[in-house]
Amino acid sequence: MLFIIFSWIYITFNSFLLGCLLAFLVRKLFRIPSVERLHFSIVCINGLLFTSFLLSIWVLFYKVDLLANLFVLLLSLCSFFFLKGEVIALVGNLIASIKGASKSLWFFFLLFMAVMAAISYLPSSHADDSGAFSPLIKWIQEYGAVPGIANLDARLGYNSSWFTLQALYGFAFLKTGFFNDLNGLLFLYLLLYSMEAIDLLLKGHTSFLNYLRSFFFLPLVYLYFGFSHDVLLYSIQFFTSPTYDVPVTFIMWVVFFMFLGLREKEGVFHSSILPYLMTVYIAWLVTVKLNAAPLLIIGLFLWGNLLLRRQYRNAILLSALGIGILIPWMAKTVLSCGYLIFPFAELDVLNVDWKLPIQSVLYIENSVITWAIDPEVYGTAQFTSSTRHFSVPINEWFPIWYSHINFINSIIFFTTIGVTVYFLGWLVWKSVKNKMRFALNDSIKVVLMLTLLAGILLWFTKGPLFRYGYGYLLFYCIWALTALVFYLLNEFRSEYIGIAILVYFTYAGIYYYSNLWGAAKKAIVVVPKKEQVPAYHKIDTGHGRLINVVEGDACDNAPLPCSPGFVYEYLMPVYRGTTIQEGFRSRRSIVPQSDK
Amino acid sequence: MKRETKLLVFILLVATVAIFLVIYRYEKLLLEKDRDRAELVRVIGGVKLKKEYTAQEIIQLIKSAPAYLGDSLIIYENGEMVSSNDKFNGTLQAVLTSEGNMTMVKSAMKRNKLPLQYNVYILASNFYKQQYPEEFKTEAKPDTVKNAP
Repeated sequence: MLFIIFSWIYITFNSFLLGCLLAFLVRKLFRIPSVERLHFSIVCINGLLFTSFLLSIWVLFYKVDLLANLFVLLLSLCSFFFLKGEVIALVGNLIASIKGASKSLWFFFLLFMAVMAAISYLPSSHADDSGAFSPLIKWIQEYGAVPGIANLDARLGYNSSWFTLQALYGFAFLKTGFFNDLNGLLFLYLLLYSMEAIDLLLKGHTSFLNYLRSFFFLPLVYLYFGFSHDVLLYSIQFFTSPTYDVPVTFIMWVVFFMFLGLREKEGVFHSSILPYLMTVYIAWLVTVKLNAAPLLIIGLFLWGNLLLRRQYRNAILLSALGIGILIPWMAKTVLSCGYLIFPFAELDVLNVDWKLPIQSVLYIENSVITWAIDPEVYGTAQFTSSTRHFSVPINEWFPIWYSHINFINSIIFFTTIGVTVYFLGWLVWKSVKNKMRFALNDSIKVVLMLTLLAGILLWFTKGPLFRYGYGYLLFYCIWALTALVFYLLNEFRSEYIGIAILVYFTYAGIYYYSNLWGAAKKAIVVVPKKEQVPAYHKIDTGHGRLINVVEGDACDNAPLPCSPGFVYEYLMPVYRGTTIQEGFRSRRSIVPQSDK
Repeated sequence: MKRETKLLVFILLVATVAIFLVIYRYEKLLLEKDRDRAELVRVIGGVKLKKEYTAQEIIQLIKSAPAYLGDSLIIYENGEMVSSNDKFNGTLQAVLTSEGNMTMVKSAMKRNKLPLQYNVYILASNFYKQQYPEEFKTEAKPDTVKNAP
């Protein structure tokens, strides 16, 4: 546990400095005159984003190992010396905030740090970890980007920039076990972000954003330990594994807060870094997980505002920056599976010999949807097809899907419908009243609502598993509930709300997580355990070029190159050349190749 | 709206929503239990379902499963199962006392039509292997190199 906390301190040190560097570069590029005070958590997330972008280029040429760690550390130290004044000022602000903050909040923050360290220490139990996440991270750590790894297992076609970050901060070179704790650290960053608002409430600063920032994280404070839960939303498996569902959801919320924060700023496109930072975040989030694509609506709105204000130079630079963030990620996806975006069979425009057979891409695409609806009904080859898209109409699968949703998700579902009806009514009324002309304040609300609705629609049609959609659904519902509570209670002292939240934290930290302390005491100075090595045998594909074929359905920590048995039999991967670095292709591929 | 009216509306709203949520949750749980209890229509000529297993039969089933840990098992007449592996007994208890885990066991029972003790053992065995991976280290033997077909 202590090792995890030390790793978090190290990661935060790097991320904070690189976050300052990113903010500096964005200010210089877009000629923003003032130095804005960003929240500590946002600076650290800036740093994670910047590191991830640099690594997305690095990984195209070399593995992410000790050398990458030394590079990132060196860059952080250079950032400190280059931006000494700014860093010291930010640290000074941070210390002042800590001194001024309520002591009870600091007690709870440290308590939850211990809770998350204990949870992050637990072995991963996420179903996709042993099959996809851990093997992908292992490939990045040992070889970097290798052409055609998806031919070993189609799931390796998934390319998230979060995995390069996990590979860096997995510290594999220590040979002690996988430090699988970035999601836990992100939890703490967002908890800190929320706690600043709770502190403001306790001090009587009543504003809608303070209410929203205090409430949005409350459903995540309680994590459940079993397979499913009727009331709680997130399982600990999201924090024991390197899943990208957590960063895309959490950082999406940060973007929404930054966007709502624009309503309170004057002359925002001339003097604030936020619009530009948001666009960078949005482009990066698409490289973390594709379901962040609807956030491009916000990006387009910001870009459109720059054009309206005749800031053509900034608009062009912003587009170039956004595209620049996407290019290395797309290049790695092409190297992994031969497609520009995975799993997206429609974008089959490249003719490379390592391209994954299109049947596998379709199968993966269909299995995401069928598994989300009901794998028992739609898990057969008829529906999870490798030859055509899932085409069962919504009115046919909806009753089956609805019958399986649990209590809390049905509440979220009906709240979403109710809020949408209210929003559409409000939109019509405002349009008629203002004759289709919206002030910036209302425009921001409308654009955010449309983004959330687009995200919900994408989630519903492409894979309606609730955990995929919490980024949109949860924010949508909590935004609406906060608006109602704020309307009713904003004339009363906000300290009472703050105290109620502290009671909520007390129950979580002292009672709900009390079971963890027994296990945590034994693991205080123990390093994380190594991942399991499943049973495997070696297959010689010719001239001593070996592939390790696992008997189960997941490679987990098996030595590379590895392929699960059932996948190997279907894809029949072979080496493209003589070394692993040259990559793999499938003998099932339809692209003609010459035998080497 | 006046300040006091807003407070009253808030209190009434919270009370109404809380009552509604409690009733809705209760209804949902009851409906799920009803669904579990629903009798399927009997089919003539259908495959015979074995409704009762002896303790020996259950132990044989477990021993022939790939997840079997090699321990000795005793199944008492009240259905309680005890392993010769003390650590594994803890894991078995963790499965039996967890609602989420028992939901998984019951859904596996519905699927494979095998007894409760068998499904509890299989699930507990998977957790045990994750908890104590060093007891199950497997390595490829150097001479198990096969040629690609």
